[in-house]
Amino acid sequence: MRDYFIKFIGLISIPALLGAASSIGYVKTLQGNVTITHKDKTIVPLKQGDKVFEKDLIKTADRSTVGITFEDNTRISIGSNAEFFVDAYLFEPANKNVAFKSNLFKGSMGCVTGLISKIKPDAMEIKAKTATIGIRGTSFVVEVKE
Amino acid sequence: MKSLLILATFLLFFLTGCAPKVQITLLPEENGKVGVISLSDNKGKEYTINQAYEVLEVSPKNEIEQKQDTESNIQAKYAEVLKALPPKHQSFLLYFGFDKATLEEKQIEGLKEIAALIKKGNIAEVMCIGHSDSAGDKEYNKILSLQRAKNVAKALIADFVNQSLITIEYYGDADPLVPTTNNKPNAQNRRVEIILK
Repeated sequence: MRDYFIKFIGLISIPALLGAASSIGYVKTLQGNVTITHKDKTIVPLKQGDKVFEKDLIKTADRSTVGITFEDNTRISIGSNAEFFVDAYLFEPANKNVAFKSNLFKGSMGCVTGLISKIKPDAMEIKAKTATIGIRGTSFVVEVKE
Repeated sequence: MKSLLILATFLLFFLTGCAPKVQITLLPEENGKVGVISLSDNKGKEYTINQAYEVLEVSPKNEIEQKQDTESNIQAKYAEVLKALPPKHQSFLLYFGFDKATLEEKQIEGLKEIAALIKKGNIAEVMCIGHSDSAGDKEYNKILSLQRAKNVAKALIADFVNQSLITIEYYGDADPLVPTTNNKPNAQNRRVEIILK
């Protein structure tokens, strides 16, 4: 029994590790109409619990918001009529190989940083129009006013 | 000449007033701590905010204005987006002996309660993250931290947590709870963190 159990564990832990590398976060809060445009240009309406991937473009409609928790515990929220793009997301904490680069094209976003900015203070960057914001472990709101 | 100046001032006001501006506001974290945000303007001058509700406003020409706002103003202004922020994850820590990856009887009992919580709650993922202290070889520590995480995952599966929910990660000594100098045994850093997402 014990032997069987150990083999069983060996089998599950490998897919578990692979699974962690593909998606980068989950939709935890959702209000109204929010869509995601994946890298391959497919557009999907988002619902709670959905996975988020690198190179995803997230768009919120009027009176719609979304909250996402990323692998490294970075938490973000996106307000209504906003566009947010995840340009690069890399989280290999054992090798201190981390990056989180995103772009807020319009609207506002809130953020509480997680492990990425803790492990490597200059790894997190948000672009908003002309500004490239360097973030060192904190909580903040960014707004692109039209 | 005077009217031209007025017109120019008006135009300038009109243009800058309409063009998109970026506003960054620093918020206090849950523990009351406040971080740091830095930005450089078009002349390369660096602006840093490090107080709660301090604001940097960036014009399209990348001119920066720094100001202090109030908690009530900011909470009202950004009520919608702040409400959508996901809550902090529930997380649990299990500590290990020096160079050990095995769980004690008491910890196995404690994991039963966490397993019950997982089965009850709307949990999308259970992360088991292994850590080590900085004593010893870095590569060895990575393997040790992985083994710790695997043992915790094993115990959760034995308590009938759906194995597809579980992800295993290991940081070696890259993310200490208590920062130490290199090559230091530290009981608080020898741990597995379970995060319920």
